[in-house]
Amino acid sequence: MTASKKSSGKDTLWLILLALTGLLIVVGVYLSILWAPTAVNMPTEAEQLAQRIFYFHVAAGWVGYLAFGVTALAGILYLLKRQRRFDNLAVSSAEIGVVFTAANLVSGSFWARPTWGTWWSWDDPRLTLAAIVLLVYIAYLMLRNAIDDPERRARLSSIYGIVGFLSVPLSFISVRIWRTIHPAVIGTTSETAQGGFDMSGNMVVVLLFSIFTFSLLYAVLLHYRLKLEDMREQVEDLKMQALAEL
Amino acid sequence: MIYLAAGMIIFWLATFLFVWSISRRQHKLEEELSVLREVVAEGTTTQA
Repeated sequence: MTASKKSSGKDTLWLILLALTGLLIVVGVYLSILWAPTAVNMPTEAEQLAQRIFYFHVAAGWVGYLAFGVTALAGILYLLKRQRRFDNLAVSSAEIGVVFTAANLVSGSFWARPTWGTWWSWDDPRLTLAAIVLLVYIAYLMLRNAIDDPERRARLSSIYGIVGFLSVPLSFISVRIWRTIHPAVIGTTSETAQGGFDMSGNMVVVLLFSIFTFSLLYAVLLHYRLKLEDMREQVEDLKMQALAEL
Repeated sequence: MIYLAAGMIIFWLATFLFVWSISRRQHKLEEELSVLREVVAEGTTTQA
């Protein structure tokens, strides 16, 4: 089998995976809106309906954490091996992480409004730390845009990506160690926490399905975003080649 | 209902826009690559 046939075979596989992910998203939307049980502990119908945002709110948050973890890991690998592909992986994952973390915050606000009576609270540690995580990685992308030299850009952003990742576990454990109105979905909360969350079996099923689907979506988006970085590298190499021939 | 509907619409719209953005950037880079390959090929031919 020639290299081009292998390549087109792989492209077809990724397209099939993309289509499958789209189908799973449709199923996930159906499950979260129509199949998942109603949160009967919520006092009003508005809160019960808004609670269904939970299934993609948590899944988006998970993808954000995962993406930034991959960015940090890729940064470590770049500093150790100095191979461009790790830097490409880091920036591709960071961009996806920013999008899904922003989606996590926005969807959380739409859930918060009918439930807490407010779109946002800067007094809440979890919300504030989640916003900080988003800003840290927006700054990561801005830092990269400000540096022209590829090697310097990769080195500095690797260090930044590793240090910036410290904000992620801090955001995750904030509901477990500080007083917060944000519920802890997994594990126990601080004794002084005001938010609580109990899930029935079917809710857990829908949540796990959403997390699985979003993880698949992350993998597919990462593949196509990585292709962009590979193409950018080719453009840079060809420009150098063209300049050398002048 | 309005919060659920608005939250979902904005969420999936953002996801779709991101996918579209990747696709658009890929298309632009493919065009740029095509032009650069021609330039390099012409340069190589001229030198030969």
